[in-house]
Amino acid sequence: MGFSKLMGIKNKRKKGFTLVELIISVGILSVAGAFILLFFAYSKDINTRAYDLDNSVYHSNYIIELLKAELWDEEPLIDMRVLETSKPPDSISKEIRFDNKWEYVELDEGHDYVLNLNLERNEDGVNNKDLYDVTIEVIKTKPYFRSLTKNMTIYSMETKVYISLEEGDSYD
Amino acid sequence: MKNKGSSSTELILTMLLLILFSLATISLVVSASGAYRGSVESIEDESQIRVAQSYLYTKFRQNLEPDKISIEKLPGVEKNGIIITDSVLGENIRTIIYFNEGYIREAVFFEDAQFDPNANYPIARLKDLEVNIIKGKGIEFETMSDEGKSFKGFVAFITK
Repeated sequence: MGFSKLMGIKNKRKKGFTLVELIISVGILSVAGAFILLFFAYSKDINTRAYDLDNSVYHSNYIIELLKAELWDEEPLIDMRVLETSKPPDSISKEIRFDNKWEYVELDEGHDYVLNLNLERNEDGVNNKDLYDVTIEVIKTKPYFRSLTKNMTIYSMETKVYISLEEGDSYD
Repeated sequence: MKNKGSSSTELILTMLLLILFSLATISLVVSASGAYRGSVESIEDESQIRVAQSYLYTKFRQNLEPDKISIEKLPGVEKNGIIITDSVLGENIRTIIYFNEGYIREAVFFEDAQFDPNANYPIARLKDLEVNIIKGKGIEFETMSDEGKSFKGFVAFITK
């Protein structure tokens, strides 16, 4: 005679999970899975934004330093040599485009990021150097994950750079 | 009609759902851990690059005279090193920045002391570092992370 029978307890027959119970559990798992995947997608998005900010700062710094060194033959400054001629323009703008890996692309190619470089001649030039107010703005042309904002500004900076005039010329 | 037990169809369906449930759980755990690991590695990689770039920019900007910075072949080191000559409390010292065994390293020696590749401290972990001096203009450098991400930097010398 079994213990439960001796104690007067009726043994209920074990039926296991029903189909409905299993469907509900799979449903709950799917919802939990969707939230976990969303969490990782957000995490990756934050990482991408940080990487974009890093790149924006590196490229902006690089351009400012190239301007200071007046290296007109280096990639983004090509066609800006006009700044050191005897009749430099009062302002000059350039749009520099990048693909999704932050490589330079031509203006007619597909791009993900745009760096707008703008130089305005300042009145405070000295001797044989012009002073320019430099503005840089880096824009992401495509929206981030779950964002509807296109052309979002990632980074912007303002600084001043002296650019030498051609030998023999002087600042008026 | 009274249901006396599970039919074989119910049993098969239940087993199939159980298998589906297990597979879903396993794939969720595997993909989540893979994604998490990838994300952490990527963050670490970018962090190392950030440290390396900031360090190089800061060091070079503190020594922007063309004759203070040179690039030399160092004994026992795979790549050329950057030598920054400076004077501290009347003593000439050389700060040597070089890439060896996967790290940017810094070593400080008195001017007449022999360079020892073991006397250094690591700054940041990288895959590669390229440095080049553009005469009279500045110093350009390129850092490459373990994941192959590459960043270019340039610092202009101060000239008259």
